Amino acid sequence: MSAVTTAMPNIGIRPTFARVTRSEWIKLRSLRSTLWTAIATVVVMAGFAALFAWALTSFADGPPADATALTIGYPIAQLTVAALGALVVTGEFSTGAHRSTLAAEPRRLRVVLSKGLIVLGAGLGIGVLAVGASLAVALPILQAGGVDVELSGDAIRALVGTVLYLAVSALFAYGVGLIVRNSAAAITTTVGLLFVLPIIVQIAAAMTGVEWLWDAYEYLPSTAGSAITGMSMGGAGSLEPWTGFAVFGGYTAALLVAGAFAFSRRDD
Amino acid sequence: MIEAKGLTKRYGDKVAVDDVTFTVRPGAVTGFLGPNGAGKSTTMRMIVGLTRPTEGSVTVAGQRYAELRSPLTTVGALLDAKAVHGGRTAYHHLLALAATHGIPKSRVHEVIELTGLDAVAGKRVKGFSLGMGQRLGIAAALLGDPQVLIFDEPVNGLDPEGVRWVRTFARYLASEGRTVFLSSHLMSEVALTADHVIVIGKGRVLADAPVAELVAGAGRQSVRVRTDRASELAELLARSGATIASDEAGVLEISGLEAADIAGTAAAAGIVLLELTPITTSLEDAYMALTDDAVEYRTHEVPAGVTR
Repeated sequence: MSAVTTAMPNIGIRPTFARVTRSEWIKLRSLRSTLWTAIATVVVMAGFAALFAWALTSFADGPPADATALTIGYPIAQLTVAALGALVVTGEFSTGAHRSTLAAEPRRLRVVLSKGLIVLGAGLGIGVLAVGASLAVALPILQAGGVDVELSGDAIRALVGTVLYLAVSALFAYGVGLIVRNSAAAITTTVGLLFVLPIIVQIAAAMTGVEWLWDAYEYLPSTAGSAITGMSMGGAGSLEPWTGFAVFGGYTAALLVAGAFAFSRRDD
Repeated sequence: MIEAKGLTKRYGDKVAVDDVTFTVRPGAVTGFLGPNGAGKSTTMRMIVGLTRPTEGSVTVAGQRYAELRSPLTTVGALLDAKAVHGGRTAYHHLLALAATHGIPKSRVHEVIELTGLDAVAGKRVKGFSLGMGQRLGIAAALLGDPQVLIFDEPVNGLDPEGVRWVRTFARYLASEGRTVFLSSHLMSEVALTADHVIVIGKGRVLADAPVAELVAGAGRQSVRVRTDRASELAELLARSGATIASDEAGVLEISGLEAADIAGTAAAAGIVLLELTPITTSLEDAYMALTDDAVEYRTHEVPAGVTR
């Protein structure tokens, strides 16, 4: 029998926040689903940007294109990046891997924070890649078609805002995942809240004409949050970019707090 | 050293673990034996803080698991062979666990080699057999080179070679002075591997004794006698110091006397014996007797003559 014990230095071998975060990063990058959701997000963003840019070039002598032409795919891309955020926690519950995680670090709040940090980092990274790819694909098409692109301060804000929006979408889904624990339920709930809910409220508001439904619509997570991705200031009474983003951030923070509480209190 | 005091877990009305108190000592393999649903896994999960006790407490090395400064170097636990994300390779699973404590990469390779996972370490766990999953769980438990090892049903799904490997390995770990706590629902398994055994049934501790003691108790011989004059014979045998029990009219269970002595006594008194059968109680029988009332899922008795 070979030696069980190793010449491992036993001093300093213990969990720290940095180490647990590093462990979460290893876990994230060693799954194929991470790669696929990242690729899907980038392809969706770049694909929509290319299509829209091509469409714009067909209007000869049209107005200069604004930055929203480049980020048009974000309502779909938010869903793939959200799937990644949810899977970081639900993937562990569905496989039982959370038991290994919690045996290694029983301080559950630290696990929640580490995972959250990784989700945020991955969301930002994928967001940068997605917006970067969109620019790289769409700008040459627009230029070739003779469409001017204005990259004003507001346009830069919208591009950076799209990256932020995608990252917070991932955190939003992570929060949902912490609460519902099941992959399918978490992704369905997130899609429902971010994608379907605004459509339903919009239809209901249009059909009934009830004024407060329109107001409520402005404050739904994704409608409020997307204010930061757009150029259309004040159009249709939408929130100010950073105000809207703060509202979205508020919903996300609330989900994360509730999720951290649920994760810490539940058995197993 | 693992110490449970008044450990209780209730799920609604159902009591999974009921006021359990025990100590698992270092330098020995302690078996945790009980039928399925007896509360073994729940108890083990409470030890590593995955499940919160309703009442009571359990400590490892004198501390609650959640308070351990360095969990993996104190306790290694195999709780569930499926505590791994199937989409990850065995190597990355171990690497991620090691990273939480700053355990060097070289140790990851060491435990892979130690558990014979070299060939499959780069494969995704999804495709692992139950036996490979168990080996991976044991590798994970050994990562931090801990003094306390907890194995929940470690031989489940292993082939005979794997079973023997776990058995030898558990004994070896204990010989190094470590605390090894190993659960099983098979008496024979515990008898072969453990020094000490804690028997649990319906959430309660039924026995807490050295295996040798339990084996000695179980090995007792008795003789079954059937006769028309049972009470008369019982009286005669009792005088020779035998212990007599009777479940059925005309049938005696006699212990403390050899079959030949019983026959002699009966013949001298002119009593006709209709049956004289020596019975050896096996360890398995002793275990069955102990947990008989505590079995949650009971099968119907196989017709006599099929077993034993």
